[in-house]
Amino acid sequence: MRFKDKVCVLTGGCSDMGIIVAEKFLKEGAKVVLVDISEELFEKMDEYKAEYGDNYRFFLGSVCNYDEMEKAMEFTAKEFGTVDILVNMAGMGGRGKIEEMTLESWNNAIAVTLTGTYHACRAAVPYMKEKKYGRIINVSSIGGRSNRPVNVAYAASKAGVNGFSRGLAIELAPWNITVNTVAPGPLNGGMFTKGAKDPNYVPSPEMIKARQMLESTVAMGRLGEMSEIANGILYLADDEAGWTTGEILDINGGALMI
Amino acid sequence: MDRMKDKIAVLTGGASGVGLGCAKKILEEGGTVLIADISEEILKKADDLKAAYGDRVMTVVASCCSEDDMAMAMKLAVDTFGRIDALINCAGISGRGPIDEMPLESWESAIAVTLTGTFIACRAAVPYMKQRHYGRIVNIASVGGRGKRGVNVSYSASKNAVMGLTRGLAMELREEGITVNSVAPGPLNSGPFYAAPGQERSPQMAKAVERLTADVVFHRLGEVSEVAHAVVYLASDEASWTTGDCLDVNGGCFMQN
Repeated sequence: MRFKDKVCVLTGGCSDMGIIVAEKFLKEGAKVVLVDISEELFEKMDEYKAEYGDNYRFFLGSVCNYDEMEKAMEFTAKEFGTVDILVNMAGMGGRGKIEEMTLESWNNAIAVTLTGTYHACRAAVPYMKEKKYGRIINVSSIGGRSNRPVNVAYAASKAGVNGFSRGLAIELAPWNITVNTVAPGPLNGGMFTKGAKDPNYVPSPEMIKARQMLESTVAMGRLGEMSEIANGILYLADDEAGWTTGEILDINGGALMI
Repeated sequence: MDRMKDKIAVLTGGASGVGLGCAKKILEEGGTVLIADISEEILKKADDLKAAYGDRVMTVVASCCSEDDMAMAMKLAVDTFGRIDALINCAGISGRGPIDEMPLESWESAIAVTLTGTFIACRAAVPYMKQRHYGRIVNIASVGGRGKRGVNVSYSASKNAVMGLTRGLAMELREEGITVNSVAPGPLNSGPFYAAPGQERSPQMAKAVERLTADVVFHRLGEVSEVAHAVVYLASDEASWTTGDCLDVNGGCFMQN
């Protein structure tokens, strides 16, 4: 088991990606704390309760609030002894073209995606420094990295996460803590998987068009699966990735090759 | 430890340094390897793996500079194990000296092994992968091909070109179920710099290592196993939506891509 007894905190832990990441860590022996903003979301873990119930906990809290992140790390240390791995998946995009984008929409994206990542890292780092070990993985996006048709709040906040991660990687190297980013390309999630469980679901023509447009930007001709991003996160969280830091791991089906 | 279970991997330059480390990691993860290298003498370094893993290890004398050798090696892998799932190109050599002292021969041999050798090995393996609509190709590049390192021009040119070959081939094979990626290691605890855990280096070597690791944020050389970790990730089914990528494993000495 690759992560036997490693303690892992996931922000945005009950997002579609969060659940898959949690499942993979649990299967590999880790203890997991899923941090998210609504108790309703915790139901998504019900199917794992029988097998892994002892090995995971929920923490109700927002990455926008530093005190809550501090409490999330305290809770994790109390339940499982420490924090070894932090995966930041909480994120939010803005909406619209720049002249239509409200300041509120912009501020929300920056607050959750960028400042939220800062809050969670700041709260977790003391535990990692103490034992001179840590793995931080921040999820950004190809949209923060290249010419993609995404809104500016999304592009700026995700690019901010990339820069933040590199700065922190250099800062934390003396404590043997690695900080890396995973930058996914367009994924088969959200609106594209809404009807996945309904056999009678027919996607709208707009939806089909949107999917085709995104697929056309990917060399491999298909959208990525959440599990493929989760695999990259586990790769970076592994003990053997101890000499990889400040890296942006692209997982995008060849949509970007640099 | 079954991330490479039932996978058949061919490694060029597979009996020393990064190649041998990758072979070991693939075996630990349940895979089977055909280790190609240029002499029986070098292949002896794989004896420990043969002793430990028996039938899952085979070695063959074959140079990636020779089309015939590579055709023979790929055929041997398919005849023996039934298929080729992964090709790991680790064979590489470097020229020597500043440009005004580098003989053309030195330049040409670096290009022949590192770059053209990778091409020859890929070309020999791809037909088998196309047949099954499945393949993983991982090429070992280097941070020296990324820039800002004190390496000689034959090394920077050939390693950078390996990244270019990787991207071009990734695009070419994108609808064939074959991914093509590279790994760019930083300075490694390998070759002349190798020191076992706890072992002291000579003052001269220690100084060289200090120079090499000056901009490595962890102030140490990387271990071959840390590069092999990246190679296994790309060679396994985990990286099924990653192609044309170059993974940096460099202790943070280069963060610009």
